[in-house]
Amino acid sequence: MSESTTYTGFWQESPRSGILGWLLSTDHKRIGIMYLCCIIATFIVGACLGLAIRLELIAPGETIMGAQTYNATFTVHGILMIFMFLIPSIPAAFGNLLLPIQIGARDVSFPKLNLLSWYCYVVGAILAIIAIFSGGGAPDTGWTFYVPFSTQTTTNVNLAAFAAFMLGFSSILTGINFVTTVHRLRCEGMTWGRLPLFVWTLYATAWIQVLATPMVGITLVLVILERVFGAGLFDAARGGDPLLFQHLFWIYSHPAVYIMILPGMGVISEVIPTFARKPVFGYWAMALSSLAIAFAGSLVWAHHMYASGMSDFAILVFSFLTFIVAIPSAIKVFNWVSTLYKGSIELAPPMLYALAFIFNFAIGGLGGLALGAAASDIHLHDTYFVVGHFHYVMFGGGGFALFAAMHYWLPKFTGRMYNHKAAMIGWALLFVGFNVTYMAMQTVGIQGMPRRYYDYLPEFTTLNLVSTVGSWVMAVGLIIMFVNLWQGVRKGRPVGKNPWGAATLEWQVPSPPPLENFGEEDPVVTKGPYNFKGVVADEY
Amino acid sequence: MNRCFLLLSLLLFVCVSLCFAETEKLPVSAADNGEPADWLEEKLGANLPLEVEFVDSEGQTVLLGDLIDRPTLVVPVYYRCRNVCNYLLGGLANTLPDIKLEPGEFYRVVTISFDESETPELAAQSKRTFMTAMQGKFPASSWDFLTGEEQNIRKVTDAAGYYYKKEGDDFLHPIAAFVVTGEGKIVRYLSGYRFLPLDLTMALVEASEDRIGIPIRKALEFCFSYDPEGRRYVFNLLRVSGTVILLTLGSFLTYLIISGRKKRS
Repeated sequence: MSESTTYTGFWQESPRSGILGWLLSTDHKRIGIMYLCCIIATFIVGACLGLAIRLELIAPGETIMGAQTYNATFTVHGILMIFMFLIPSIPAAFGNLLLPIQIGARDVSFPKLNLLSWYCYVVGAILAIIAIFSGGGAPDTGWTFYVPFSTQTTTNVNLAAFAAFMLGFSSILTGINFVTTVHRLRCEGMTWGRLPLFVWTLYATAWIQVLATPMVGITLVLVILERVFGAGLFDAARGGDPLLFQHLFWIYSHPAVYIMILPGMGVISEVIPTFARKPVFGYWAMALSSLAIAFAGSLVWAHHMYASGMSDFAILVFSFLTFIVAIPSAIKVFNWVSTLYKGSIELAPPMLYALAFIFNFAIGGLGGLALGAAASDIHLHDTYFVVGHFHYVMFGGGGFALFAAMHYWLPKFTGRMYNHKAAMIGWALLFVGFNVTYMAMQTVGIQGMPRRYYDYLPEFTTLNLVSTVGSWVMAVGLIIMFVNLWQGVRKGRPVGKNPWGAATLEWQVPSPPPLENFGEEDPVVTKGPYNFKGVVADEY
Repeated sequence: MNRCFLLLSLLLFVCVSLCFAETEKLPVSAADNGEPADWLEEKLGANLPLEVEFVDSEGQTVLLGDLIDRPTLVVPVYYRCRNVCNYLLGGLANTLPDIKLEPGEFYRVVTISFDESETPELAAQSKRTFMTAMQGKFPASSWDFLTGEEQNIRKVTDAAGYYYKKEGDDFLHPIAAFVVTGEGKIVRYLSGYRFLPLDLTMALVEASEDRIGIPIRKALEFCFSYDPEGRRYVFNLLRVSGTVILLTLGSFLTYLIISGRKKRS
């Protein structure tokens, strides 16, 4: 323990000192930390915009903003939260921090490319911010950039679309790096059957990133070409096809939902065995279901378009395929629950977030089936049910998984433990506030309230008020969580190598890990990632 | 690694070449039913006949050459059209005030009705409508609304490769306009009913410099040209990019599987 108080690992060890030691670092952990800082900053801004949206909707009519400001606010909220927070959150931040250590490597395959991907992210983020404050005003198209509106609006869509293009480029580079790293840099004894499940999900995610992201890149460039040169690709009068945009956009953006949720599932698959003190139930089913989700998830994009006028046959096929995705997702949920069964469960903060994930994801996932079935979708399309469903999966799933990851691995990377009691209070407020906010949204959606309007009919007032109050409870929970983690990072109690008693490789190196992770000798793996025999948690 | 890149480049080359080869085989002839294969046959560089007579909206007979003495946007429509012609003229009324060139000085706009039965009164009515829509932001003297006799109309539209056909009370016709130089040479076609100010400005500037097309436009046309007979894009950008992405990633995966784990030194 005494060594931990002075030992600072990769935070101190760098060929360069000061800020350049970070900005020019190719160490995967430093790049991961830089990503984490950026995505947390983005999340805070995005959350404030979300609170502003909820505040506007506290009562019918204009309360704090007018229609155009509202349109711009929900667009920027969406762009920030999707392209700059959720997509890079777990894959880029925690993927970078953990992937090499978990497979026994010293870094990723292409460390310089890794740094380049961070710079692409930063350039994309800066362009997105410039797009908000320059030109014809913040984009007001919604995060989906649907044509024909996006080709006609005078707001700053060109720059925002280019920013999203740059962010996509960053995502592709990370994907290429992770796929290559998993194939080429596994240490001795790290067979495919001994890969931690988090690595399996990162691997599946990386393939989606590499395969699908170029499509959205091309699509956004086409929107820019359409706006600047009038290429006519989406204009029926000139031989184009307005539906083409929706197809191209969702070919990426539906798999992107799995970019956001799959690594989150990986995090949960790490946390649950650790705090149930049991090997994960059905390792191969869990590993292969990640690949199955990635594959099947790439074939369901048109379920966003049932109301667009495409053929009934296409609707039937896409509806069927959508139900297929539910199978591997359900395998994961059942296996987590089976892992808990007869386990020696410890309700530490990461575990609470993991349990909340399962609860929220189950609600969000089942709501997804209601939307995936064409008949009910026609009723629910473009209502607040969709907004509620999306937030249940993305925030209740992806967001809570990120918080679980932060509570689980930050002690590893900072060498210090946060206050558990404060973490639990934060969790409780967040969990309650979250469900109040979004369950009210889903209900008001079923009642018929359309989304994307700053105003609504008086009969929806009560549920909107409940939802807005819920958002404040959630905000208090978030503040407590972030402040507690920050206090923990700064002056929490020092921890040893393995405070949770977990069995994957990262818990066998010092906290924080040193540069190149493993000292002189490369590790040799002789057992699976969830074999807890002989693993003892360090006191802290 | 070098060999791998070489292989990838070769694959890319083959794929792109295949797409090009396919392009050349496209049929361009007319269909059998007497209708043109393409209602708009772009005749860039061709000259409009300037010695033909039309009647303007005030009932005066004018020679086309008297009006086209500087870069001119020529818009074929018919004033009684209940459909796209109004969208086209409305779109134009929306765009013209945004053009940063001096109307009348630098360029003018000429609308020609291809319905020989239409009268100057109808033309005047149409002119009033769109001038009102522009709320004085465009001088009325710089936009003429013409009517004329059938053979004169045909001379102009045939020279421009603009084909139309009467069907009942209405016409089948393309939705397009074209920009000509002061000598009547066609330099650019603008399709659709909504022109971008940049597009129109570029075309007028080219006309003033007697230049046909610009490289970026050509590239765009190459990428996005639509073959109406084959009902497909001549250079299928999406298919090409999709194939390139899949081939590249397929090669990447094969390489990763074959090369296996890296040997540690």
